[in-house]
Amino acid sequence: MVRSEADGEEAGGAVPLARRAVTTGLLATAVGAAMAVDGHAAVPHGTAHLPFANGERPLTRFPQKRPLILQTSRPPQLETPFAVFDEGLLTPNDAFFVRYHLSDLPTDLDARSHRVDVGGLVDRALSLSLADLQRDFPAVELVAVNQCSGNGRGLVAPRVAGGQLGNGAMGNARWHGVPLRDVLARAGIKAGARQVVFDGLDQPPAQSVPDFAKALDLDHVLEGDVLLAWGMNGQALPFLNGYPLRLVVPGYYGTYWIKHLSRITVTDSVFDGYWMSKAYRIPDTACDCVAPGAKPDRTRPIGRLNVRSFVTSHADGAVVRANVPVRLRGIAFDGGSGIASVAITRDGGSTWQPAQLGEDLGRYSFRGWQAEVALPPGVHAIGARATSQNGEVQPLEPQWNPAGYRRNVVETVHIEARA
Amino acid sequence: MMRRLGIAALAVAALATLCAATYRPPPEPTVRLGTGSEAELVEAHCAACHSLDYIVNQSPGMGAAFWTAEVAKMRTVYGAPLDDDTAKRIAAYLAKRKGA
Repeated sequence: MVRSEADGEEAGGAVPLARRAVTTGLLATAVGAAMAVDGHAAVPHGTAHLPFANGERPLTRFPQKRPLILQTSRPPQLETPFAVFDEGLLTPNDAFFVRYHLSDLPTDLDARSHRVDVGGLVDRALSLSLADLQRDFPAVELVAVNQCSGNGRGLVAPRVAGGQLGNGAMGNARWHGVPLRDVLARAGIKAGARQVVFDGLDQPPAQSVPDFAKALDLDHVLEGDVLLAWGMNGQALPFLNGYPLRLVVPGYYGTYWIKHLSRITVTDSVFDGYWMSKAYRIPDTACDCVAPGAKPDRTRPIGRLNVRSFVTSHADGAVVRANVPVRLRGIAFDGGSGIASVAITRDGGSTWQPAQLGEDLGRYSFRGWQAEVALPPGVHAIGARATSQNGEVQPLEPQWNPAGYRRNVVETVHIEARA
Repeated sequence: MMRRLGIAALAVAALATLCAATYRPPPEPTVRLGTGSEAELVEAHCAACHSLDYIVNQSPGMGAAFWTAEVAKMRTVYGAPLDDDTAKRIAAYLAKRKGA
């Protein structure tokens, strides 16, 4: 069960209100429990230094979260400190990154009354509660990476507009829910259907701001592993990750993973909402890139994750003993084909040493890897490069696009070996 | 790839979700761009829709064209109610504040 964070409540200005809300909720209902997910006093918990110009960010606690890298507060965007990725293959819920587009968050949610409406080009419109979903459809679980399209944008050169993120706008979780295709089968898809549009309860701060809605092709929804998920690592979704129900689109960028999911609409056309037709688009070129600073002639919606890998055991600037075996550890993932291999370079990519892959939690998951190296005295630039099961290899040189999406260059960690 | 859940796991997952929740955001940190009338003009208009860390965290040295384009985007895409003169003043201030 998700609970409110106990520590810090005494300092929070909203304490009496929160307690009243809890009491009222309990009184009002015979079953279930109510909770308040409280804000804490905005006491900074230190400063994170992201490795680019103007990369200092406060570490700040939000409800149900440990101190995370505060990118923006309204709407909230929180980045996971990179050391978290060395704790295990599953990213803890309280450390999982947060990214909203619209600042009017649905602050009062009740999983007992929340409904998701299924309509549009269907035989039977549905309005399903969480209990309906849990009772009427076979539940499944699946481990999948959710990664922000702009993960690592702050590292892009030349710099571009947008959230100036390090590489912590990603996470890997075990999601619990029901397959979307089962729900659509219950509704019955009519002939001529082409896309499925998803909308959540978060709202714009002004009517002129386009609502955040996203679309997937019907073929993808029918063939893919798209879930309506209420569970994350064995617990309810944290509020800031979409409580009580979110879309999980394994292998696809987080922009499609609609939070606080409330409406699913089957359409006979390609959805032309702003967040599909104007935003979250990549160059329609063979490399999905253009020359740095150039503007693409044609674009298409962003889709699958590309292949990436990271060293997690050692941060940039780490110091180790020279000529003694050092175990390097890290993670790799791609858009759903799975990881075939990971290799390490110490010489800028001239030679590669294979790494050993770890436990396989599924083709959409982080895959752990490790490799042993003995480093002579000096500073070593260590790079990890993953190859996916479908043959995609991380590039040694970054590929640029105007929005700073899909960064997947081989990242470098400098390790100093001292005698 | 998907795994069917056992009864026990299902019960846990189901119980955990049937709660009411009230979300209370932490107080927004005070972020100032600067002092003086131009800073106040920019803060008042921009903070109407988003926190000012959106601006502060952008890369330094992006230049006047960048900030003019950003302000134009706020008007044309998000419908920020700015007249031409105000938009110009905001862009000019941000270009200066963030470095040309």
